[in-house]
Amino acid sequence: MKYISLLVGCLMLVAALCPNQGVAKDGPIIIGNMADFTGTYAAMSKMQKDAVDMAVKEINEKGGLLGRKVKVIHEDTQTSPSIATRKIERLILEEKADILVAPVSSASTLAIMPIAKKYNKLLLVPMSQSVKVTGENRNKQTFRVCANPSITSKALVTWMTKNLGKKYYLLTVDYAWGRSTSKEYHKLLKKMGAEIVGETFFPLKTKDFAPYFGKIKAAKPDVLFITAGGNDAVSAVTQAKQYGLTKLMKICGDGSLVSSDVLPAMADAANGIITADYYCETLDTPEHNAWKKEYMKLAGAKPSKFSVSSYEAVMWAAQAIKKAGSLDTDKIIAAMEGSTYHGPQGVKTMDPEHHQTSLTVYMIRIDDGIQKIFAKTN
Amino acid sequence: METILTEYLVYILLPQVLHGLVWGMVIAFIALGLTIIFGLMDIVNFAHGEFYMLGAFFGYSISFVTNNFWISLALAAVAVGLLGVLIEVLMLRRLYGRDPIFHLLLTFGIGMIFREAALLIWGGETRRVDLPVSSTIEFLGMMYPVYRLAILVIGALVLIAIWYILAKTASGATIRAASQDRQMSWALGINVPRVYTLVFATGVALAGFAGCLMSPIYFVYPTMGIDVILRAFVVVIVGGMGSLLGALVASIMIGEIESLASLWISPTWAETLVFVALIITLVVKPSGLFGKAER
Amino acid sequence: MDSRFKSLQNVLVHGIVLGVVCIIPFCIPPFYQKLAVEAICLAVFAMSLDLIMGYAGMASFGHAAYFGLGGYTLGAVLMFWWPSIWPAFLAAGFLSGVLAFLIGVTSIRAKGIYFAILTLAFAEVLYRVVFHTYALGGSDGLIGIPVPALNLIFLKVDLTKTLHFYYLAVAFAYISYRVCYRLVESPFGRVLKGIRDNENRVSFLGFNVKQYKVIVFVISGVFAGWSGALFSLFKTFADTEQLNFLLSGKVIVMALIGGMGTLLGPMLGAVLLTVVESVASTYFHAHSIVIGTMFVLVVIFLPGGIFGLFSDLRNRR
Repeated sequence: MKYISLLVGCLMLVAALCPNQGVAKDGPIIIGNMADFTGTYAAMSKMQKDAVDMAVKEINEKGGLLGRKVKVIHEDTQTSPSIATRKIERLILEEKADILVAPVSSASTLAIMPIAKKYNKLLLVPMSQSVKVTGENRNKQTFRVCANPSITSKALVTWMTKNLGKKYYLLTVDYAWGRSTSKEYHKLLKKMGAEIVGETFFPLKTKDFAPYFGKIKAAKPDVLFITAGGNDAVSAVTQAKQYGLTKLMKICGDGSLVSSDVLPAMADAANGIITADYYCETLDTPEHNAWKKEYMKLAGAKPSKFSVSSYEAVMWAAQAIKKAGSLDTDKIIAAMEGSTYHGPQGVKTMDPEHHQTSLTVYMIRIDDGIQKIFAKTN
Repeated sequence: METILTEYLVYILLPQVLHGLVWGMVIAFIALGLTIIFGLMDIVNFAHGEFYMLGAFFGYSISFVTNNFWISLALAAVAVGLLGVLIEVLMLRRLYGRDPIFHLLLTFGIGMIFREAALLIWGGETRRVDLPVSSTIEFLGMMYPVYRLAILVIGALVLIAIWYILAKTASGATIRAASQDRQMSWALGINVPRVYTLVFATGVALAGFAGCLMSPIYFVYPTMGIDVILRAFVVVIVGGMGSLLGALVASIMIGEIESLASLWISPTWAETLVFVALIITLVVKPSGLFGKAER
Repeated sequence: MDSRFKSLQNVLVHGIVLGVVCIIPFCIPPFYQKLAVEAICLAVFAMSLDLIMGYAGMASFGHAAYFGLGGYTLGAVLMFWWPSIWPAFLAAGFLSGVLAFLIGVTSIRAKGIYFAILTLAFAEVLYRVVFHTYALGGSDGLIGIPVPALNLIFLKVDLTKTLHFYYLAVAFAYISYRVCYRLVESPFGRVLKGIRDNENRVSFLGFNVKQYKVIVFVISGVFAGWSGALFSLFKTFADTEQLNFLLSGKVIVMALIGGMGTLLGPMLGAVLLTVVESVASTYFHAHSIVIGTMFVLVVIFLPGGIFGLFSDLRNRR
């Protein structure tokens, strides 16, 4: 009897799964947007969604691509590589997605890259910063449109060692991204003749940073260099201010430390922090101002570097498709490689070998809770 | 040589012990409601972290209306308590008499729903709550935020109050009676279901209170509950489920382990040490430090 | 019922069910074939949990440890030592078994919730160790596990093909189920049920309760490890989420929705949940509310799970 019920269950399952076939071929061009809507990266993923929606809306208003409309399908990858790999295959096999956008989590991005390769589909990486994406794990199909730490670190380290002093203490979040980012800075700081007086790796989701401050103070650095993002960044920066560390040393950090997704939560605690990043929300150019106005109208919130790179990922791919004149992945890849794209934050170039974007890096200081550009390098 | 040692003791070790103590009190405070609910109702509330999170969000939202942190704090705790009443009356009550593991599973599911609902309602951004007391005091060569010391004091006061109510007052005796022998208490004319509702509501209200109280230093976001729930479980279990004193001792022990160990080893492993401490405690004493013997 | 007739009926039913399961991939689109393979791996994982939770009454909250360890072991063996399936699977089962033995022996004294939290603590330690071991990819996970062909004497199975993998997974699940079924229906299994219902009584009867518990715990760990290994082989990566306590929670949800103490129930629960989750998350981003509500309703109204509902109907008749 048990078996019969199991049998019934199986048959029901078959019946439930049977339809769903037959996707129209001449319908819209499908963009599959994977984002970590639930979990730690929910806020950034909301920005990703808004930005991709905005890009698609803009493309459609200008008459679509290759005479076809563009449609975006959002999938929740839940900050989990096994869910992400499941979703990318759903987008490719079920929805016949033509272009894919990768989620925030580097682990998920690295896991879906081989799948994009297997089906030969274009994969755009707007947010994941792991060096591996354009390094040892790179493949032909994957393009990163945001900076990676080795780009921003050059500008920041050069400036820091010239202006702030020679003694550095590194406070770094302990997972792949934190480790690899901090390694870049470590290497460069040493090369520029700076002294690393100490380094602390703290676990993800640390609530209380006070126990690390004693050691940091005792090491008497000129600069406390923090590598952290999201809630870790918020806690580290605010508590450093509460415990008076800001009076004893300068605080600097990789761009994610004070990007505009976390800045509102820090308020005045972030004042005086210096960073280098590929986007600044207060960039004052006509293109950016117009873009920002439109984004705020659609999303109801200020843009961040995550919004702009997600937006640019889609627009850049659209530009390449237009140039290629076809949806053939190999042709799009050829059109992407070495191409330049003029977006809201200026001109970007795609490195044909590593598929890493090179872009303008802005030196940013936080004044009154707002990012201010005080220098830029190409 | 001597001055170096004294300097190390006074300026490095002593602050570290203090940080550990405050962190321990924070954990104890978060775990307080969990201990009460388990001790008196035999229910493992896996949604505890989510009640903590909801307290913070309620406080955050209410403060827009009241513009006063302390009033929002009280209102948020009450609101979470009322939610607790609903959960107890509508759901938990149906499970009394079943294997306690079902309570755990039910609250696990409720936690899942709350977490997602918070994300839908408030979004995933990290929200900030201004420090109600922003001044700092200076001692041992460091600046110390007064609000942290306030948390220490408030935590201690609440803990003492709960202990006093349970151990020394008539209503406390009623509650303990109802939890020890349901039928006998019925016979003696105690309204047992009402006592249970009250205990559960108080427990989750304490979680909400803690969430709101911590929000100025630990911020407000939907997954904030998951981030603390494991530590809260660790202290409650290490202390012996249901023992207020045990939870307090275990919290401070764990706070000190994490704080002191991070001086000498990587903080990452200091955090893992917490779980090692739990394993050692339970292997040596399977019912926790102050736990009741096998049930 | 005549026992010979019954065994004939059994063979027939097994044949039909297996036949249907084997035809399924031809009726569903490629994506769902892939989803089905994942679901089958998770089904064995849920069944392994049922073995200790449903039959021996030991609630494990760290079952993901074996699932993840199996995946990582298989990945490490294939990537770094020996690109061949059998040794990798043996190593995955062996290491998961050893881990289960160590955790079992140290935790068995603790009862109920204390046992649950103890297993959770062990799993968390393992999770953190793997998370920070950069030789295993750290938080990025072990990516790009090679998939060698499987040689079955006269049959060469190409595991990069979903269909081939599907049949391998079905065979694996069926064999696992038969082994576990034999186990719980044997005298050994009856002692386990005795332990679940009244540990002291079994102990008074002269059985070494601890030994029984450790043995079943190890068996459960081995099957969990194997299911994790198969999962990682299919996905070609092992990631830290596979070790996380949220997965331990999820597998309990699967087992309970299906029905604890029935073996088939948890398997059905795993398949159902995987499909519901996958479909729901596409159309509704707050899908955890759907799963959570489903789970809460089952806990309150169907403590025996979906499978319990079927047997209730049968008993009523």
